Amino acid sequence: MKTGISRRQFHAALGWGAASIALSEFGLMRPAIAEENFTLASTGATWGEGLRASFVDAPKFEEKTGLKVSQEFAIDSVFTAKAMASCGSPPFSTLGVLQAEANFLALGGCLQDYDLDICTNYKDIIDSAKEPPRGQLKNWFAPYVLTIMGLVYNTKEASKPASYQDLMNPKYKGRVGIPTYGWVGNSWLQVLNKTLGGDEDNVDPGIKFLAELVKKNEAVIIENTDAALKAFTREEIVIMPFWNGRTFVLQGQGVPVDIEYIPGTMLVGNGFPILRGGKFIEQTNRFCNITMDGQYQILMTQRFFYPPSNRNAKLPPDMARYGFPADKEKNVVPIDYEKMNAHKSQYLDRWNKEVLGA
Amino acid sequence: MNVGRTRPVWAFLTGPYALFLLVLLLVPFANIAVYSLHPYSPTKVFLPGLTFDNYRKIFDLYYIRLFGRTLRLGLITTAVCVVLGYPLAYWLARARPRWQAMGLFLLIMPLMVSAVIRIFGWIVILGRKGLVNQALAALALEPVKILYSDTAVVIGLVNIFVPFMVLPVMAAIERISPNLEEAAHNLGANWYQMFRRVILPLSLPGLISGCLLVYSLSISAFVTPALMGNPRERMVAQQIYDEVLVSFNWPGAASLSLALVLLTAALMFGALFATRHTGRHEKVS
Amino acid sequence: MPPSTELEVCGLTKRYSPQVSVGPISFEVQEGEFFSLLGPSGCGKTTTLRCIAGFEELTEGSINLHGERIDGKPPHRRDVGLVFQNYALFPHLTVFDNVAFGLRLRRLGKAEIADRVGRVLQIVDLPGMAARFPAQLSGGQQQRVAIARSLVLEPRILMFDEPLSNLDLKLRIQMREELRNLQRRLGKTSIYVTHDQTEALVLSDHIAVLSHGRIEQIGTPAEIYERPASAFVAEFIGSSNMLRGRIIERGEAGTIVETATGLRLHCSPEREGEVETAEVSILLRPERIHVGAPGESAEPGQNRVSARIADITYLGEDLHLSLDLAGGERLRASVKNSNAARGWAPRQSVELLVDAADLRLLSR
Repeated sequence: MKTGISRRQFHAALGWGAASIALSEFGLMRPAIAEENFTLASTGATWGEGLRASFVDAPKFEEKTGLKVSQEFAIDSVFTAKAMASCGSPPFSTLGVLQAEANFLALGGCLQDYDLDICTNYKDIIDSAKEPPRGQLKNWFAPYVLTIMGLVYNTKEASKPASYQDLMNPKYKGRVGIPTYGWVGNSWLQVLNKTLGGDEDNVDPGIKFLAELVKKNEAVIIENTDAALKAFTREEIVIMPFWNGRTFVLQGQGVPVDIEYIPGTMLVGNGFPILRGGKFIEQTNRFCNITMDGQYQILMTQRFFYPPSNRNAKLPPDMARYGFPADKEKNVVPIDYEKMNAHKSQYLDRWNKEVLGA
Repeated sequence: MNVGRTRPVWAFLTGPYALFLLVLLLVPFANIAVYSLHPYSPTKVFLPGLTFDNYRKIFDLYYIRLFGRTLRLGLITTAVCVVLGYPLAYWLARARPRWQAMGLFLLIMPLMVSAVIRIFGWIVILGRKGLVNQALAALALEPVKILYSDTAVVIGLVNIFVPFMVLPVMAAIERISPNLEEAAHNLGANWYQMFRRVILPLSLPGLISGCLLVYSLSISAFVTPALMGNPRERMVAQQIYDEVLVSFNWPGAASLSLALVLLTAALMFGALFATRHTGRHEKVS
Repeated sequence: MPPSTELEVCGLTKRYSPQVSVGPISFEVQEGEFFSLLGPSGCGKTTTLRCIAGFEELTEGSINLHGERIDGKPPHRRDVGLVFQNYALFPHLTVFDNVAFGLRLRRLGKAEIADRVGRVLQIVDLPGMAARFPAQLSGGQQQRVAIARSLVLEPRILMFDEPLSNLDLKLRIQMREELRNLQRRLGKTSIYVTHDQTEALVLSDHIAVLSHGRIEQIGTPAEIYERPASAFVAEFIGSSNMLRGRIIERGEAGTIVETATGLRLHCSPEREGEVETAEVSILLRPERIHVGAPGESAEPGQNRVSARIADITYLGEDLHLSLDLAGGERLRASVKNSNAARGWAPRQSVELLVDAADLRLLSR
């Protein structure tokens, strides 16, 4: 009698308690049904609101197309996984992703090209931000803002860095941040590795550097953007590779930080690709064209301080400092995401064993 | 006629839940088991073919340590929950109804708060410049590093899982008549002897249920270790998460999930087998 | 050698709140005596018992056991055995382990424990049950285990909290007899709490009748029944007729009272100081009423009252009669089902004869 109860309690609590806590927190609870409305998948909260205000409301997209736009919020990797699992009959019309995820979908055959007759702004996107052809795909990914990872430092506690070697400065022991692999660590490992002489197929230099950084300088592993913002604010870290836009947010809050676009700067585009088999292909193309339009991109810049990707977009003088200086473009290290993704699981293993286990 | 008697009534009573379990638990589980036997590909969910590589990978020192850590943290969390939860369960079981209702409400309340919000609360308290360290500084003591450590994970897990210990233990103690305690005292038992010879054995089934619940929940915890633990020292659920959502290695994640579930199930059945023997006296001839 | 005082309860008071309290209660129990606390629920009898066992703390007063004050001691250090109303057997232990529970706490040797448990199970007539669990026993058997469990420790006194109330009527009567024989045989000083007057009368050497937290009367069963000290005791013990009246004459030969309706009754002279007021209650036990045919003559010292039968309840061995007096009072009478009674029917007139000695006056 007793054992029956405990078994039932066990099922109820483990099966549904734990699973639903975990699932609901990551937005997996809602079933991945086929798209019914025109649906944008993206990160939520203020970013999701900004997307709607800049690319749906400002250009009056709903009135012009007669479509109702609904949004689905989760973290990038979650809806990338969903799109991948339902390749060819996607549960949403388009999704806002970084290049790494976009490449997964491209290589999995889940994307199709932009229709350049509709996406007339595609030609004006700066070339270093576009993705090169992958298999059948030619023109398939253009970001709407430039998300740039430079080296961000506390201007009072740290001095202006010249390269990633500055992270090794013993003065910063215990107060160096590095992004966790599952967040942007996996991409950043590539640019770091390349500045150290490695490439996508050989990450030994990068792994070795990070292992030493963790071991000798007690680098702190940062789990996500929020944690990084808090760590900088509380001065728990004084130097860390981090986003340009977020640096300006911190500055606005009076935190003494600045960003330096050192060699090995990472430029990741945040963009909307077109999912193969979608129900609203034409309207999705029209939406994507809007996201490539400089005048609307600037609305995002106003909110989040990431510069536009359209080379014709001119930032007003008071926003000029958010722009990416032309003389630093040479410091950007491109990543071959196709190669990177092919090794992603293997490198996770090495990261866990060699970097975290250092 | 006794037609009704031949109808399998149990099927109607257990059927709906069994169906629920079958569709929403066993089928996805079977799916995961299938995934775990397929080769990994970076661009597909899995490749056709059959392989045991995903399981072979687990017998690597890193994964053995990962499982070891996870099981150890689960054990510590369970032990702390017993130490904190048992006295509370006893008090609640013996409290007046009004106190009991209030106590239960306070006990359950942490479960009503989103995990993320609750954990950020802990970060404020345990952080480098958090309340604990401010208090220590005010007393001119050395600050301690609690946040982002195993200690923080245990604190966070205990915070959520104590109710899962308290409720079954409380239910078991409530079924023990206070007269039995008085009878034991009357026969010469002091409080400790009474507890060890009467309350403890009679509440053991509840205690074992509580331990199983807390242990299973702890070793599959994800959010708490991710946000409060040392990022360098992980638990199995975090590894599974990274495999699925970072490297899109579904077969790898599936094999880890299955290993965790099998391990949990083995521990659970072991414990239930042990309780069956202590529950012998419940049977009425 | 006269029996010595085993238990002395002196001014026991337990206050739960300013409105709710028990006491002060004082009584003594002699060695080897069977002493009952009798009263309706809420009268304080169980509280008194729990105070003696140590489960409740006294607000005031003292409790002495065999000359030693025990009211400050924790329950497990008092040499007092208690048999609970619901037996409170340990469900996870066998009969043997239940009975051995207290012996093991006293760290006795295995052989001695087995010996003492075996003997006590013999005494309560439960041989061969040692390996059973309580759930496998009948109510009466559980009762015996509970008694054995206390008895085996040879406490100075043995206390029973309504031990028969969970049994059905037949078993209750049987257990009552067994309990009585057991107590007489062992000569164990016992305190017995009950709300059942018959149990108290059958079992006890002395009874304390409680009401509203106070003792109304302490006495032998006969004293309590024959000479109740108050209307409460009279009504609680046995059934009784109660008439209101006032004393109009007191003399050597007896007392004359007159009821509200003008009925005059002769009573035996009351004891000194027993009745202080002129306004009295007149107590008359139903079985002390002699019912005769109309015109039957009274002997000297008997009251004669005319009445009419209102109702007859047939109980087999006895008949219960409801009788209306001329003045309007109603009396109940209990008579043997004899030849004389066979012809009676409702509305029939009868003559009631009552001995002056059977009328008892109580202050009002």
